Amino acid sequence: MSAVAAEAPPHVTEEELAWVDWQLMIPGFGLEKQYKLKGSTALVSRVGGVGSPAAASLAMAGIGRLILAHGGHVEPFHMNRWPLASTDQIGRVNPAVSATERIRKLNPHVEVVVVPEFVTAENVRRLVAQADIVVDGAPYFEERHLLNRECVQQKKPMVEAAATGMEGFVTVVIPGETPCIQCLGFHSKDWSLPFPILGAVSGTVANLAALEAIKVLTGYGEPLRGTLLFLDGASSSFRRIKVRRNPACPVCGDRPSASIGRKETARKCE
Amino acid sequence: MRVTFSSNGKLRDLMGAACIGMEVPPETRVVDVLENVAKRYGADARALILGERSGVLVLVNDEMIEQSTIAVSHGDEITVLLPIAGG
Repeated sequence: MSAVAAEAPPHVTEEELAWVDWQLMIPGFGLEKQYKLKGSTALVSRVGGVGSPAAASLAMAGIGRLILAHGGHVEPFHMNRWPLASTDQIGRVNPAVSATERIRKLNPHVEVVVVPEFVTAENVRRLVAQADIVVDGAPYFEERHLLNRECVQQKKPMVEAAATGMEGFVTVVIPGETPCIQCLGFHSKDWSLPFPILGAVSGTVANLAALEAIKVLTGYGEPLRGTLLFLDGASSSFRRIKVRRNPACPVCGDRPSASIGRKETARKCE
Repeated sequence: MRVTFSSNGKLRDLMGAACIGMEVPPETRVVDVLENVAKRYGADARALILGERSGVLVLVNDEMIEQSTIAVSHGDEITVLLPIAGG
């Protein structure tokens, strides 16, 4: 181990490498990738059914820094899908605080920035600017589009992941290269909470999202560029859907609108 | 010729199946298939597929299409993917 540590950047200790020792055995995922991950920051928008398992997987994989954004409190109805929350926190602890406490026990080498508020038009620019990648697990289209627009403007990659009922999807937005969320056209004026969801489904989507983030950050493998991976949990089947950029997209197209999404403010509820 | 239509979420619930088959005449366009499904499954299905309250992803053989006026071919699978935002 000492020979390995001698090659490591100063901020990666032997103890840290011991945490991830078994993933370093993956062919092609060696120290170089690990150092890239250690040097990376991910903003996770909401640490709920998608965001909390994704954040946990990123932490366990040895990401350097996590920014966890989520307002409100842990509630009983979260407990079927939020593995980082605990029963004694219901009604009194903020989800970002809750997730941070647990993540620090999973991997104390990860720096965690707690943002006990939702992503809004007021804070989105500042939060995205601090990250190398965004993992979007928000339950509202408005919030997803808000993050999408900011990621495109700042040219930051975003992993878009969502789950409802027995279904979910994951895709990767690389600004200037892949379609953005606006290109896909996903929105609904009839969407509201609560929505049906099984934790095993959101957790599956979440870990796929974490995997995509790790691939983008480290350069390992082939991220879901231009591909939307759709999960049907009822039949345990996946579809790989080819998606395309829209040249007329008002967010990432050839002539983006400066105003689109500016007035979008994520709702302040859970 | 024969094509199939598939969807997810509420539309799949309305259809009672993830996928249905249908006979269509030559030169049928994707939009004609969508109209066919909307007509078959009623106003709620029409609102989901063609309404303006939500944006859906229309696919042919798991590829996103930009214009629903393109013609379908025998054996094609046309999909309407309803939006998902849950987290």
